[in-house]
Amino acid sequence: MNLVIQGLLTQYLDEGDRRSPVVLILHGWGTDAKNFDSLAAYLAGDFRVLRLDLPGFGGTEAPAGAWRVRDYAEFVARFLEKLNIIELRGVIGHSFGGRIVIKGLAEGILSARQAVLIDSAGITHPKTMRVQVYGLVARIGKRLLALPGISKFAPGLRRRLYRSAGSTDYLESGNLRRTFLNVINENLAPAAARITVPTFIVWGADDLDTPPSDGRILANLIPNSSYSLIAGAGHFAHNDAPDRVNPLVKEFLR
Amino acid sequence: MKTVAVIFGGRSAEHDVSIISALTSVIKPLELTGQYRVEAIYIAKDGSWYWDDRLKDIALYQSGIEDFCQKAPKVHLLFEDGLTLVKSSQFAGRKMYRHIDVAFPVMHGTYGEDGSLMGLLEMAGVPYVGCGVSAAAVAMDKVLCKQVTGAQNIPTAPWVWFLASELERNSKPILAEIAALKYPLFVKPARLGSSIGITRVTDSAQLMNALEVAAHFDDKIIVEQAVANLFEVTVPIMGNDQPVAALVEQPLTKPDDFFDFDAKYLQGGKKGSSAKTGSQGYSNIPADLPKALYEQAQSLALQVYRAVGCSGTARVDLLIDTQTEVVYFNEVNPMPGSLYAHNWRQKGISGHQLVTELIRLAFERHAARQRLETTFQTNFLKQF
Repeated sequence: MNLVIQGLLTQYLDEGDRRSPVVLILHGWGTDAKNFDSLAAYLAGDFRVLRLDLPGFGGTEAPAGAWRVRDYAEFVARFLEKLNIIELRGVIGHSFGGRIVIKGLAEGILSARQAVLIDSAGITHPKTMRVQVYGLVARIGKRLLALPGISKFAPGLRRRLYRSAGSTDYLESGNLRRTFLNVINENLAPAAARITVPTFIVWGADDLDTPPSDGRILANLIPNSSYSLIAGAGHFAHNDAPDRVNPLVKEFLR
Repeated sequence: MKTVAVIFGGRSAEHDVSIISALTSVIKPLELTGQYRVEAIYIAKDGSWYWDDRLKDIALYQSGIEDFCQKAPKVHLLFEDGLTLVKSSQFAGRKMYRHIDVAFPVMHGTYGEDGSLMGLLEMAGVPYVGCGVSAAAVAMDKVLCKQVTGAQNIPTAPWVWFLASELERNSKPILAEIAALKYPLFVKPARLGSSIGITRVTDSAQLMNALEVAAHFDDKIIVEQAVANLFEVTVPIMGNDQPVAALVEQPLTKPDDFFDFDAKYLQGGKKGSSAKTGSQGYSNIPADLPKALYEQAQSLALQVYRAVGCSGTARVDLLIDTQTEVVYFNEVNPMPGSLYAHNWRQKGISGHQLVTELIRLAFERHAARQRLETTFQTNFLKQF
C-alpha cells in the first residue's frame, strides 16, 4: 500500500487486526520492510503490525537531499500521523532502523510504550588503522579520478576500492551516499542514555557488522533494558533464528 | 534480411517492466526466427537513447547499467528515407549507421505507450508494431478512454474524474461527486499503467490519502466504483481492421487484496511455468465462465478495440458482475507486458509466430496508409 509522506511516495504494509495494539517495525540499511516477513507474520495474531520501506529503500522514493537520522525519525512520525496512529505498543528497529528508534525516542520525535533493538547500529568506534589507510587512499584517489581522461574509469575504480575496504553499503546506497555518511558518523550513545521506556535488546552472537559488544554498550546505556544474545545468529538475528527471536519479542511486547 | 529496432526502457515508472518484456518476449523470439536482424534500443530513465548488442543481456541491467550509460555513445536518429540509427564507433571519429525497416516499441506508460513514440515513428515514416498515435493516446488516458467507449454505449462501472489542482482549490463539489459512488472505490492516476499509484479504498476515512497517492503520479485522477460479485478477465487482441481475440483470461488475485505492481510483475513472473499460469502471474486460461458470458466478454473486448481504434495488438480488461451477468469495460492496454505470449501460446500461436505476425501487421498498416492520398497538387502558391 502507498501513502505520500513529505512528498515522497511511501510503500508500507499493514497487517493484523486494526483494533489490536500497534507495533511498528523499522528495517535496516539496504533492505526493506519485507526483511521482516517472518516476525511480522508471527506478531500479526496479537498486534496490528505496521512496516514501511524507509526513504531510499524498497518501494519508497529516496530523499531529495542528504538526510540525517533525525530526518528519518521525523518521517516515521509523519507516517504514523497519516495513519492516525495515536499510540504505539512497541517499536522495533533493526540495524539502521535501530538508530531511528534510539534517536526518535530520545528526542521525543517518536513515542512508544516499549522498544526492541535487534542488532542495532548507533555505537560508533574509533577508526581502525585499515579504515584510516583506505580513507587516505580515497582522498588521493578522488583528486586523481577527477583528472581528464581518467574520470571515465572513476566508477569502476571507486567500486573496487570500496569493495576491498569492505564497505559495499556505501556503494549500494547510490544517491543515498551522503545520507549514509551522515548516518554512520552520528554516535547515538548519548541518545541511548536518554531512552526511558523498557527496551529489549536482542543480538546475534556472530554479528560481524554490529558486534555483540555494541549490544552490551547499549544495554548499559539504556536504564530500563534487557539484553539477549542469540547463539548461531548473525547480523539478521530475526531471520537467522526466528524460532528463538520471534517468541522473545512477542513475549516482551505483550 | 529486414532490420527490426526493438525500443524499450523509457522515462516512465514502468521502465523496468519494459526491459523484461522486450528482452524475453520480443528480442529473443525475433532472433529465434532467424529472419530478422534485431537491434536493441534502450531508452534510459533520463531519456537518452542507446543502441548496442550488449543491451540484449538482462545481466547488464541487474548490475552496471549506470556504468554502461556513462561510457556508451548515445544514439542519434536520422529521418532520411525512413529511420536510421547513428552512433559513434568510438574509433577514429567514425560513425556507425543502421537503417531500420520496422520499429517494435515495447514501452509501457508515459512517453512510450501513450502515443508520443508512435508520433516520432510516424514522422519518420517507418512502419511500427502496435497501436497508432491516437489509439495509444486514448488508451493511456483512463478518462478519455471511458469517454470514447461510453460514447459507443460500452458499459463501464460508475466513475468520476477531476484534476488534482481542482481538488486542491475547492474539494467540496468533487468530494460530493465521489460520495455519490458506492464504496469500495478505486482511486487511480488517469494516465499510468501497471497498477502503479492505484489504491482500493473501503471507506471515506482512507479517501484523502489515496487521492494524494494518485496525485503524486498524475494531475488527472479517476475514481471508479468497484464492480460487485467481481470476475475479472482480460482479452488480448491482435489485428488491424480484422482483429482476432486470444482466449479470455482470468488473472487470479487475492479476493480482498489489490493486485499490486509486485504481484503482477515480480512475484508472478517467477512462478509462471506450468500450463495454468502466465508470465504475468497466476491466471486461468481460458477463464471458467458460462459459454454465453465468455462470448459476451470476447465480443465486448473486440468492440472496445474497434471503438478506441487499436491496431497491431492491445489487451482489453473487463469486469464481470457474475450475479447480474453484466460485462463492464475497465481499460485497454496498448502494449501489454510480455505481449501476453502465454495466452496466445494456448491459442496455438507460439512466441515467434506472435512477433512475426505483429511485424506483418505493422507493414500491412503502413502500406494501407501509404495508399492514401495525403498530398495533392494545387497552383495555390502561384496564385498568391
